[in-house]
Amino acid sequence: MQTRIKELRARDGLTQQQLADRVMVRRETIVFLEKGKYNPSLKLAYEIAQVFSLPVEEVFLMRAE
Amino acid sequence: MIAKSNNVYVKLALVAFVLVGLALYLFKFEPMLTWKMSTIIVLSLLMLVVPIYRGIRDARDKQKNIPLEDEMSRLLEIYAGAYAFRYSMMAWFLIFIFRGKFPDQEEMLGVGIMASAAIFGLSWVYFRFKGIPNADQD
Repeated sequence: MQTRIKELRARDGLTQQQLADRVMVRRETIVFLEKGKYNPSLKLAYEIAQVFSLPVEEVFLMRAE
Repeated sequence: MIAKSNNVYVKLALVAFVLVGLALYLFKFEPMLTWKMSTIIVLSLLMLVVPIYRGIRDARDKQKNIPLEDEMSRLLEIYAGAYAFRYSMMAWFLIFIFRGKFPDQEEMLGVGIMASAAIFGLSWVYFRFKGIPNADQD
């Protein structure tokens, strides 16, 4: 799975720590998400999408196998 | 400048360095202390250092209203624990096979406990670097 978190953070001028604070996780979780090393729970994915005011599927993209 | 995300590894490396150094020092320069005693001292210190580190981290997270174990940290520990359990069983099996090589049972137990702790630590670091596998992959 790919994410647009980094791109969207840059768009909204958010740091990793600020995003982490907004969705109440550690900064490392955001780092892992951006690197594609961790797939979030549905709840976290939804909360992150809410921060960017976008639907989940526009933040997290399924990579074609 | 060291990136903030690397701080954890620097701290872990420092703690490991200090503990290994202390073990070697005790073993080499304290003739009254046997290898077994040195192991017990280092294990005791490790068992103090880890909860203190976690306590500080949890207190910091609480201030920021972050749940004490955020979902990735929890999953990381679950994966590390599962792998550590699997490989610890193998380690204990090896210790059982080579039990005749140990001078006494206490030393054998000490080595086993150290090995289990080290396997958990290594598993944790492995997943911390490699990432957590998805539910639909091995």
